[in-house]
Amino acid sequence: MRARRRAWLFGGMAAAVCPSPAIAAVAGGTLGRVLRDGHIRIGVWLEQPPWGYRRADGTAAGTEVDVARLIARGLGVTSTLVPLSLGERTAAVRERRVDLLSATMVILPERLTQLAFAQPHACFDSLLVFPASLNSLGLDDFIGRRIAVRQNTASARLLRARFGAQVALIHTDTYEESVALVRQGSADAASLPDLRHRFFSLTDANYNLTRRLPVGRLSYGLAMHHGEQDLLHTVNTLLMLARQSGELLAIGEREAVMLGGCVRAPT
Amino acid sequence: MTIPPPPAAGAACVRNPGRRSFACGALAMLGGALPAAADSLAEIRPLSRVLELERLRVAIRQDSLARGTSPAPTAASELDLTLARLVADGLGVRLDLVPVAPPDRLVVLHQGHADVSFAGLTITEARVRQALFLNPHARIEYGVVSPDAWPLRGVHDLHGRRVGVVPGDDSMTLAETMLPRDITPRPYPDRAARMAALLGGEVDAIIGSRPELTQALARARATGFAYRFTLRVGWMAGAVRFGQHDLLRAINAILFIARTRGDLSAISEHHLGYTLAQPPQI
Repeated sequence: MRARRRAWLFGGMAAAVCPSPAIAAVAGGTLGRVLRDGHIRIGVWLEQPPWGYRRADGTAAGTEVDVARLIARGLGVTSTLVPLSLGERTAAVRERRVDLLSATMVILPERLTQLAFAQPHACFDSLLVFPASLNSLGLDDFIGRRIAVRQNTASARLLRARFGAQVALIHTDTYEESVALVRQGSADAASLPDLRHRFFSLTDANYNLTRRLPVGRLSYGLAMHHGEQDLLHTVNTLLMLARQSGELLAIGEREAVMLGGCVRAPT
Repeated sequence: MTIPPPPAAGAACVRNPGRRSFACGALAMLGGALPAAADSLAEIRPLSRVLELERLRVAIRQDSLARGTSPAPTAASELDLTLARLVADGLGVRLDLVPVAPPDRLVVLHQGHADVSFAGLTITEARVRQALFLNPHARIEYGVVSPDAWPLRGVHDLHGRRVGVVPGDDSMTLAETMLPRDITPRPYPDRAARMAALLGGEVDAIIGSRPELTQALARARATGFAYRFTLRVGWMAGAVRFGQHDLLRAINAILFIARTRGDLSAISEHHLGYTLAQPPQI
């Protein structure tokens, strides 16, 4: 009930030009239903600015929210943005509570068995950040050291894949907590997305993690249930159009993030 | 590569699902009887059926086949014809052409009268809701042509002017979405009538694609007119019916080979006058 009320609150009304029933009936699966009903439910995560967040008035904003609205507009349907927590994103798709996820879903090998991903529409660099006092030139210098990382994130998986048990990962609940642990001397470095590092650099006068090393580049993709081939291809076509028209780039520029220039996923 | 010639008139004519094609009937009279390929049954054919029958039904703009008639085929239409042959050859099947009027370019897929449409389609949001698009094979610019006496620099110069378009064509969509609201586009039944309106001074400008407009001006030996500016870049692509993913992948694979061998670029240069650098992929 609560989720339903929240969904109403965030109901985004895309410009709707409903296709004729004769044409809509041609598409299969979820796309067929979406075109027939003139409505799509898109899961978003609003706790990850600038990708997804709530404005002061409670409305949803962020690049992933804008991409969600772009897809709804491209389909010519209205949309309901369904706010999801970090841990419930995959389940929401698998339980058919949402038709599509635009919720900073990093494309990871282990997720491919659970979800189908569209072509990546955004990417970011996962960084190790540390104070200038730490004499480290490369990632291998962190072997045997302590790294604070937000738990359940793609960056945590990336670090585990890179270092295995050669580093001590200290799991935190927030990026702020990761940074605080380094400041206190409880960790040698923090794992941050590039945007968050830039945000701290610009907004926190006491932020002293001035050195950084890239661990890897990760890509976000819109995700959906497996087997929705019509929907997947149509979403990819709309993303291609948005990339070509510069609209995807413009969405990214509004929040100073990198959209549209990512490496294509193999098809 | 060698650019394959367009098919002979008799071999091209098939059927007219939208009952709008004059080309088909005329070509049948000119070129002889309809080929056996012109079966009249509507059928949704997955790739396996296409290969089994050894025939690929490709919807093509009816004016592509109107060789020697009016309106003359555009460069883009001829390019589509080349693509249709390339794809059929790639699949190793016979090509059956299905001439269609612009409004029927995707309808034929839904009706099961064609397996793929290469009918002057550019990918737009509205069309994406109606079919699955193949990877783009050509780049087209849509813009404005006007007399030299009135050298337009941008959309703002069109205020209060008479602009000729063809309903059902991309020119109408562009006029509705990109021109100032105080402009009422003047509709003409086809491209030839639109061009005649410009040459006769009925309208101040016309909207269409390049090089179609510039080639039409050259054919008409019209001087004192020029292509002024581009409203939108479009990507031409074929389309298949929703659900036809095997067929989609097979044709995309053929296009991939053609692109990597440089054939798509050569086809673009041959028909449109410019090479195709790196078309986007879906």
